[in-house]
Amino acid sequence: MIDIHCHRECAAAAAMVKPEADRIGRKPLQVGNELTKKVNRRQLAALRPKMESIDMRVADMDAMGVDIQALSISPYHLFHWTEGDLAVRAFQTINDDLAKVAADHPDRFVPLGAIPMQDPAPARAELRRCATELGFRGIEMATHIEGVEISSPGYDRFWEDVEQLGLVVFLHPTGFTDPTRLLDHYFINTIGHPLEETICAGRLIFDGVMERHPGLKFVFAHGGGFLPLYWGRFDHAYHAREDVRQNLPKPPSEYLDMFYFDTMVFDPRQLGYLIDRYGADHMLLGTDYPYDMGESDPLGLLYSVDGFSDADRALIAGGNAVRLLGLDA
Amino acid sequence: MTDPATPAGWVEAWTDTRAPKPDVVTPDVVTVDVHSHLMVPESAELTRPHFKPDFEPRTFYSSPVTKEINDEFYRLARAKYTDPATRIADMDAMGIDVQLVALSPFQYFYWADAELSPRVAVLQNEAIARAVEYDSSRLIGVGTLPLGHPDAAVAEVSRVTDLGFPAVEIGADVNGSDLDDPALEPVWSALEESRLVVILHPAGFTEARRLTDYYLVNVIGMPLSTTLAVTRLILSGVFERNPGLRMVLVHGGGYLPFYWARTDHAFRHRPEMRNHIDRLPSEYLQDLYFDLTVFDPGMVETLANRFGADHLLIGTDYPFDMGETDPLALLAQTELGPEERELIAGGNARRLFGL
Repeated sequence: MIDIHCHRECAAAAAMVKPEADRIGRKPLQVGNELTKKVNRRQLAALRPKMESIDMRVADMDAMGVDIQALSISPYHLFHWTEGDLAVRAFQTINDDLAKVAADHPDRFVPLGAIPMQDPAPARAELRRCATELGFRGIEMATHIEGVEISSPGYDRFWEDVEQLGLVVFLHPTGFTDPTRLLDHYFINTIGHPLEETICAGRLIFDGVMERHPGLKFVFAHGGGFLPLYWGRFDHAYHAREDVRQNLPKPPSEYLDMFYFDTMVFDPRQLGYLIDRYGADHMLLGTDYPYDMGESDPLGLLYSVDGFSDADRALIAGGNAVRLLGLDA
Repeated sequence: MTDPATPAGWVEAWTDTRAPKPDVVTPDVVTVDVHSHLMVPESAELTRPHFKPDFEPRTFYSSPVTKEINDEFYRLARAKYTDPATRIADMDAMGIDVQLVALSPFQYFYWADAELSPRVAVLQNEAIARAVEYDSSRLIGVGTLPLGHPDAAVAEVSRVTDLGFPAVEIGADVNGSDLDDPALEPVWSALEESRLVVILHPAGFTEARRLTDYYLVNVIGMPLSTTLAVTRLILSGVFERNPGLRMVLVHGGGYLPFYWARTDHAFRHRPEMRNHIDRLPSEYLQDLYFDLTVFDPGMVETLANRFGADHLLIGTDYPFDMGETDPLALLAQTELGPEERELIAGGNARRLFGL
C-alpha cells in the first residue's frame, strides 16, 4: 500500500529562511481567527516528534497499513516567498533531505520534490536535478505561486519539461489567496483547500495546459476538492458561453477525466462517486499524515466503499501509484 | 441554428431548439420550477444614481468580454425577464406548469441606504405581485427583503406575507457581510415565525480576484458563495436557534451537499467548529432542500441518494444562460423511480410551499 498524500517538515530549510521570514513577517499557518492560530500552534508543537523521528513515522505507517509513503514537504515549507540564492538553497536543502530519508529507507519512502516555482529558470534547473541526479519520480506543487496561477504562460516550458521527464505532480494547496471571508470556523482549510484545487484544476483546463500537455500526470489532494464532484456547471458554461469556451476544443470534463485524485474525502459515498466517475485507475490512496485533517484509517475507508472489485481496490491502494511513479521499473 | 454558445443562441435555447423527446415521460404531477428570475426595471432606475461598481462583485470582477456577453444577453432576453406572457410560453415549452418567480440577484441592491432600501424592496415586491397576477394559476411570487437594514427587512417579512407570497429570496451575503451577522438575528426569527420558505440565492463571491476569466465569477463564484453562507449558518447555530426555518438552496446547494464530509471531519477534530452546535454539520444540511440546476443526472442522483428525493425540487434558473432548459429531460435521465421523480417534479414543491 502506498500513501500519495503525507507530509514532512524540513527543519534545516526552515532555519535557513527564518531570518528573512522574521524580517518580512512571514509565519506559517497564521491565516484564521485567534482560536485557529492557537490550535495550529499547538498541533505543530505536538507533531514535531513525528516530523523529526523516522522510527515514529514508520510505526505509524505500520499501524495504518501503509507500506510506502510518497513523501512531500509540508505545504507551509514550500517557501515560494523567498528570492534568489536563498530560494535555490532552501529548496535544494528540502530535496536533499527528502532524498536522504528515502536513501536510508528505500523500501518505505519515495520522495516528491519541492520546486522553487517563484522563478522559472531555477525551477526548471531544480526539476531536472530532482529527476536526474536525485532520481525522484514526482514533485509536489502548490495550487498557485504567491498568487500566480501555475497555468500562466511563464510556466509553459516548465510543464514541457515535466511532461518530458514523466514526473508525477502531486497538487496540494497552501491556503486561499483572498481569505478575508475564510477566517472563522477553520474555513481556510475546510473550504479554502477544496476551493484552491477547484480554481487550479479549472485554470489548468481552461488555460489549455492539459490540451497542450496531455502526458502530464496531476494527482490532486483532497479528492480534487469541489470540482470532481460538482463538474456539471463547468460543462454547462462551456456549452453556453463564448467567454468560457474560447478556443478549448473539448468540454472541461474531458480534461478533468485526465486527472488523478487521492482518497482524502472522509466518506465512502463521496469516495464511491469519485471511483465510479473517474475510474479506479485514477484514484490513489492518501492520508494527509500526520495532521488532524488526516485519515487515520485509509484502508478502512477504501473497503467501506461498496460495489468495487478487489482488483479495483488494489489499484487504488497501491497499483496506480506503482504505475504512475514507475516503481515497478 | 444559432450557435448556442452566444447570447442570441441562448435566448433561442429556452424555446426554439428544444427538440421533441418522445422518451421523456412527463411525471403525472403538476410540475413546479422553484428557481426562476424576473427583473424590475423601475428598481434599477431608482437606485442607479447611487450605484458604485464595487457594490456588485460579480460584475466588478468580470472580464470585459463577460460583461459584453451579459449586456447583450439581457438586451436580447429582456422580454423573458419582464413579460409574463413570454415566460408562460417558455414554461409550456419546458413542460413546467407552475413557476416561482424571484428577483434577479443583481437587483438585490442591499447596498442602498436606510431611506432608499425599504422603498426599493416595496417597489420590487409590488412589481413581483403584479407580474404573477397575470396568471396566478401558473406564476407564484417570491418576495425580496432589504437585508442591508434588518429592521426594514423584518417589516418587509410581514408585507411579503400579506402579498400572499409563500417564500422570500435572499442573497448569500449582504455587501460582503455574512448571513450569521448578529444584526440579522431578528430577521431569522421573523422568517421562522412567518413560515415563509427562504430561497438562498447567491449573487457572486465578494473576493473573486482570481475568478475573472472564463466566467468563473459565476461558474465557481455562485456555488462557492452558497457553500460559505450555508456552512456559516450551520456552524453559527442559526438553524439550531430557528429550527422551524425552511430553506431551499439553488444550484443543487453549491458545493457543500456534494463535499460535506470534510466539514464533518473538521467538526469532529477541531474546536473552532463546535462553538455553537452540538450535532454534525451535515445533520443540519439534511433538513434543507436543493434544486436541480446541476446539469448532470449523476449529480442529481448523488443528491437524491444522500438527502432523499423528498428534499429535491426542479429549478431552471430561467431565463439566465446558466439555466437548465430541459429540467424534465434531466430528471428522466436519472435512474430514480417514478414516485421519486413525481416528488421532485412537483410533489415536494406543493408540500413545501403549500400550493
